[in-house]
Amino acid sequence: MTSTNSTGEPALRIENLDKYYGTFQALRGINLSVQRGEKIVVCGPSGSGKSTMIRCINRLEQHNGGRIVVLGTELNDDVGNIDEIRREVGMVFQHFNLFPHMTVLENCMISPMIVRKQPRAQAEATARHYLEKVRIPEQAMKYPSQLSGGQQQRVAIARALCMQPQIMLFDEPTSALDPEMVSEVLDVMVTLASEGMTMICVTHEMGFARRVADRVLFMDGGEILEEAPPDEFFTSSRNERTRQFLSQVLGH
Amino acid sequence: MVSLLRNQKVRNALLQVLYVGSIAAMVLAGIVIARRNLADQGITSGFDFLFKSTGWDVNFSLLPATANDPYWWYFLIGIINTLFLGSVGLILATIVGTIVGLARTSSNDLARLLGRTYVDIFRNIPLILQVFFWYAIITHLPTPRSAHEAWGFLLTSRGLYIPFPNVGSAAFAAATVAVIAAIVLPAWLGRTSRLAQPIGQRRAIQLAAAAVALACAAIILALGRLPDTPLLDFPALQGLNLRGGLRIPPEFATLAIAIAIYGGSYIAEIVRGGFKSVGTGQVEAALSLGLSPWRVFTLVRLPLALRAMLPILANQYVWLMKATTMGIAVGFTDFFMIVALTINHSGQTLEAIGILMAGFLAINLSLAAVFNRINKAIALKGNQLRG
Ligand SMILES: Nc1ncnc2c1ncn2[C@@H]1O[C@H](COP(=O)(O)OP(=O)(O)OP(=O)(O)O)[C@@H](O)[C@H]1O
Ligand SMILES: [Mg+2]
Repeated sequence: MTSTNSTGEPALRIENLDKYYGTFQALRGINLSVQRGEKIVVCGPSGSGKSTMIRCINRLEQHNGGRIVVLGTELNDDVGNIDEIRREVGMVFQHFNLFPHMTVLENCMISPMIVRKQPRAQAEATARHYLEKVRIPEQAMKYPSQLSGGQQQRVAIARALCMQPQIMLFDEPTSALDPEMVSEVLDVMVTLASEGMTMICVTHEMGFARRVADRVLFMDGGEILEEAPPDEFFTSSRNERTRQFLSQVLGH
Repeated sequence: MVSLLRNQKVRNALLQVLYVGSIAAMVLAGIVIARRNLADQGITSGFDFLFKSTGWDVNFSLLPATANDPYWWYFLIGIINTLFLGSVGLILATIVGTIVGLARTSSNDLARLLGRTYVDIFRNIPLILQVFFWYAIITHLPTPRSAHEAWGFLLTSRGLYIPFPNVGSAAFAAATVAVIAAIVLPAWLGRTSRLAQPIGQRRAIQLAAAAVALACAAIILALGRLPDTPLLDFPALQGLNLRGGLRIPPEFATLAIAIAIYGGSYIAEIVRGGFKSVGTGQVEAALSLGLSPWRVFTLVRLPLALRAMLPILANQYVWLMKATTMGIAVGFTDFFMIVALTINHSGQTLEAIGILMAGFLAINLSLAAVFNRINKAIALKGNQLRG
């Protein structure tokens, strides 16, 4: 994989991506290229295919047409490729999805130990490092259900980071949180962005998009309707559907 | 006074008193009537009969038994037979249930269909019919002279003959206990030392405990080995009969198979429910971390499914334990059959039934208590609802 770094291959390349659920077409000819270190924010109305798109990137959903190339490796039926890509792509979910039967520390250590074959001591050191980074080192020995939503989501971010991924995917990481906890999670994400992580975030936090995004995508009906840097996206969108959507999320 | 009757606490207490009082009255009346009837028939009540010798034989016993033994010894034999049949039946039913339950949750259409057919058939045929069915099949196996043989195992109408280590029975029992300890101890240590020890040491302690227990088992077997015999005793035909090895009588085999197959169909449904209750979110998170499907199964789906299954499984086990009373249908001397024979021979109906009820109550309450402990130990932490 290191050989592809030097050739200028983008972190992620999606070409003509189609996805069907039965006969329903959820994605229609998506094209997207993401450079290393780029931060992409994806927004759009409910059911527009945002989750479907980012879940295709690590094969939680299987696409039906087009190509997805992640870090130079094409996603296809080759199980080896899928494993390789999942090792390098971290994901944070709306509902945290922590393992409730493991402590916070175990949640963070399990995958590095098993997938990366790290010795226990090293995995624990890495886990404590990232828990420190998301500002909850003192919760390491607790169980997920003993934490607040914001803390749980930060554990989920730390868990993904412990695999030291090259790309991070976020699917509405703050929309299941109480309002007062949103900022603690966004702060962690902003720090991560400032350190150069390649990020693709589905979120309706437009303040976050303004601060960190290199590009904002607007999706509707399974298509990317608009793609622009944030200042342009928020002030001078030409697309009628985008303006309508923006007035709804920014309005009130 | 009226206002006192309206008080919720007073009402509840009064209802309780009425309830307990009426039950006590019924029991008392029963005892008085029974005593009078028994006295009329010239039967003395009381537990003196326990110390008289029975004068009849049992056909299966893990302890030495003769017709001269007293009734209390026979009750003990019956309880041990029930526990033994129950444990074998429950373990087999759990294995069958796990396989069928997993087939029912698999993504393979054929496996799902087979699993469903199995559950539909064996859950809907009464246990007693299944017992008779397996008994008929087993007693129609060939005679010892033309027995089916495979790997030293012999299948005959007189039972299943299996190779058996040449050790004394006490040594064998002790070794069995040691092997069980090798399984239970690491699990228990893993829980209790969870927070006390640094994570790295926990695995080492568990492995050491298992190794020590297994070593004990090996030493016990070596010491208890009968002098001048090979380690394993294989069954073989001698004249008209089979000698050597261990004979599993047809009655025991019938009941163990019936409980395994019937119980397995219920346990399969519990297993299926347990796996269905595991959230897709946790599974997706595990996959997105690069864990292989097998690791996702062993590290996430199985542990979470087990926690959901265990309370229901405990009920099922208590219920299946009672299925051992089918012993009387094929003549296996389980606890229930011994009580029935006792009533026939001694006439001490009330006492014998009292002992039967107390025995089953003790067995099932202990089973429930053990499962409660396990449940508590592995319950998801910090979750008030599940305690
Ligand atoms: N497993 C599925 N089976 C069938 N249809 C699905 C499935 N998952 C999603 N869909 C459909 O695909 C479309 C896109 O769904 P998706 O979850 O990607 O939307 P979204 O943009 O993430 O919406 P939201 O903002 O509500 O999360 C929706 O119409 C949805 O009903
Ligand atoms: Mg979504």
